[in-house]
Amino acid sequence: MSKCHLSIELEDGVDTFVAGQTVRGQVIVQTDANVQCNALEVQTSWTTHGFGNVTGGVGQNVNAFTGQWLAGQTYRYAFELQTATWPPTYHGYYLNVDHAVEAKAVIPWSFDPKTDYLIKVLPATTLQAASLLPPPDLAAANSGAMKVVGCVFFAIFAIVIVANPFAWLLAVPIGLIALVWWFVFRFLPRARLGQVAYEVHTTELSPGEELRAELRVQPKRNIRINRVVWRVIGEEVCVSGSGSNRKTRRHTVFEHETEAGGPQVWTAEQLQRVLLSVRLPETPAYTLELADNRLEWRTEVHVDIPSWPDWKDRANVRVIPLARLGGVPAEPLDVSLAASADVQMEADPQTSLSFAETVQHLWAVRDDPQQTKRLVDAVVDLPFEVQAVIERRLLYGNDDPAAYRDGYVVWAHYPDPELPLTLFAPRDRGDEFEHFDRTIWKGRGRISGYDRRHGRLKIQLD
Amino acid sequence: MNHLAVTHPTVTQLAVKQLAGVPEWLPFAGLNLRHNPFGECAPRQRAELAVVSLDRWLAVLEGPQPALQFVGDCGRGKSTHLLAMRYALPDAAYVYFPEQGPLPSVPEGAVVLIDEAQRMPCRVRRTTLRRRVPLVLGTHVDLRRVLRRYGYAVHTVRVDTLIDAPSLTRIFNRRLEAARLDDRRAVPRIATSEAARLHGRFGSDVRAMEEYLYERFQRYAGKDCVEVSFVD
Repeated sequence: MSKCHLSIELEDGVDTFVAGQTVRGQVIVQTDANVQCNALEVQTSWTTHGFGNVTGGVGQNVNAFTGQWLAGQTYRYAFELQTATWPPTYHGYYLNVDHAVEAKAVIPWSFDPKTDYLIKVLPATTLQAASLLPPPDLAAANSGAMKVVGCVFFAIFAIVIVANPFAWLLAVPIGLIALVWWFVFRFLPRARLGQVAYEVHTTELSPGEELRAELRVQPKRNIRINRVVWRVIGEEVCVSGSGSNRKTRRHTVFEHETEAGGPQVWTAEQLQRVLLSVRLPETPAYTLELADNRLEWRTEVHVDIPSWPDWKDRANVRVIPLARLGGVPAEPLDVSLAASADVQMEADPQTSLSFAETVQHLWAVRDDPQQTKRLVDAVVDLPFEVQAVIERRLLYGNDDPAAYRDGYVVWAHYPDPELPLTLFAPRDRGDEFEHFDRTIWKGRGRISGYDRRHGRLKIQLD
Repeated sequence: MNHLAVTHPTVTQLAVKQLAGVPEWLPFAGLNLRHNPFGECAPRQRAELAVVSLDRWLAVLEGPQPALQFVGDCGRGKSTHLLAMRYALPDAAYVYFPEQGPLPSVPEGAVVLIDEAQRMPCRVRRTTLRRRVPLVLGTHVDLRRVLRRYGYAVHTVRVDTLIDAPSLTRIFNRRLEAARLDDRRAVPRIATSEAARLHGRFGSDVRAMEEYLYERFQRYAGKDCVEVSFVD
C-alpha cells in the first residue's frame, strides 16, 4: 500500500523546451501516513525506446527534500532543471527518443514511489548548434582512436600468427581470400579508372540544406562507362539483444538515388568532374549515435564499368540541427549560402534568439572556454534587446577595440542568471549610467566578444 | 498532468479520441500510449512487467539444496523469469554468460541466478556447483544430470509449456498498461482470441510475437482515433 503519491506540475503547463533550457515546476507529494523520506530525487532525463536496446541519460538532477512527511498532508517542492542538451526528442520507426522530468521518493524499507512527466525537447537552435553539439572533429578523433585500436589488435593478431605455426593453416586461406577480394574489387576498378577520388563537400549539414559531393576521375586511357549512380541514405539502425540473440533492424528515413551520367566515354588524361548534389528533407532526422540506437547518414557512389568490376566508394555525413555556424565544410561554402544564413537570422524572428536565451546558454557553458568561444563567435554582431543590472561605470578601460572613442565602459550583469557583462556606451549615453539603483536597464546593443580574463560578455551599445 | 502508469479496469479494443492535456506530439497519444508498447525494455522494466508465478518458483527454493532450471529456446521467457526472480530476491546474485567476450565470475549470494548456464565452462560449473547454494538457471540445455551429481534437488521448468493464449493475453496487456499515457483513460487491449491466433502462428516464441506486434503497432503512429487490430 502506497504511503505517498507523487505528481509533477510544470510551470504554465508548458511541455516543450529547447535543448538545455530550464524546466520549472513543482513536485507534489500527498501522504496518507507518516513517511520518512531519505531523498526526493528530481531529474530531467532522456531514454530511447523502440527496437534497440534501451539507453538513456540524465540532464540535471537535484535532491528536493530529505526528512519527514506527515500523514494527510500535501507538500509542494519547486524545481528548476535544465533539460539534457542532446539528443533532442525524436520519433522514428525503430528509434525513438523521449525526454521526461522524473521524481522519485527514496523511502527506507519500502517501495519507492515515482512519477514522471514527458516533455518535448526541441533540437538545438542556431545558437545552440555552436555551443552544445560535439565539436566537428569529434568523429574524426574517434575514427583516429579506432584506427589506433585496430592497429594494436592487428599487431597482436600478427604476433599470434607468427608464434603459432598451426595458425598458418587458418591464416593462409583467409589471407588469400582477402587478397583476391582486394584485387578484384579495389585494384582492378582503380587500375581502369586511373586517378579517382570521391569527396563530400559538406560533411556537416542541416535538414533542408544542400548536400554536395564530387567525383573526380582522370583515366589513363579512354574508358567506356555505363553509368554513375549516387545514393544518399538516412537510416535508423537499431540493435536488440546480445550475443547469439543479437538482431539488427534498419529503417530508411530518406533515400535518394540519382544517375549522374548515362553511357559515355571518358577520354584519356582528361579530368572528369561529376558534380553531385541533393537537398536534404526538412524532416529533423539528425545523426544520432546512442549506443545500440543510431541514425546514420551516408552517401554511396558507384561507377558501372562494362565487363569489369565496378568502382564503389562511400562517405558519411552528419546531419545536425544547424550546421551553418558550427560546421566546417571541406571546401569553402559559397558566399550566398553563408549570407542567406545571416539574413535568415536577422529577418526571421522564429530562428533568431533573444538575449535572455543567449545569456542562458553562455551561462551553461561558462566553464568551458572552447564552447564559450564557439557560442560567442556565433552571435557576434547580432543585434539584441539587452537587459542588465548596472554595477558601476569605469573610469578606465576604454582601450578595448569595441569601446567607443571618448565613450564609457560599464560593468553590469544580467538579472538571472547573473552573467557578468561589460557594456560599451557612446559618450552621449553616459548619463544613463551615472546614477543607477539596481533596477533593470534596457537598451539595444550588439555582442562584440567575450572578456575571458574577467568572464564578461562584451556588448557594444547602439 | 500525471503520467504515472497505473492499472485500470479492462476495456475491450477501443477507439480513444485525442484529449485535452495529452501531449499531442507523441505518436501514440491517440491511443493513450506513451510509445509503441512492444519495443525493447530495460532489464528492470522487463522484470517489473514479467508475468511470472513468483510464489510458485520461490517455494521451490525453500527445499534442501534446490536447483530450479528454466529450459527452452530463445525468446520463450527464460531470462524474463530470471530477471523477475532477481528483483524479488534482494540477496540473490545474478550473472549472465555471454556468447563471446570475457567470462564473468559467478558472484556469491544467498541464491545464485545464472542466465545462459549452458555456456558455463566445466571448471566454472564445477566450482559453482560445489558451493551447494540454491541455484536458478536459465539454459537451452537440460542440466539435470550434472546438477544431481552434485546433490541438487532439481526442478525443471520447460518454459514453452507455460505459454498459452491466456498467459499471452496477460503478457501483452501488461505491456500495453505500462505504456499508458493518461491514467484516467483506457488503452487498447488484446483479446484472448487474438492471443490464441498469435500462439497458433508463432508457437511459444514470445519474442517473435513482440516483434510482430511492434511492426503492427507502428501502423497506428500518428493516428488519432482507430480501432486496433493486433493480428491479421
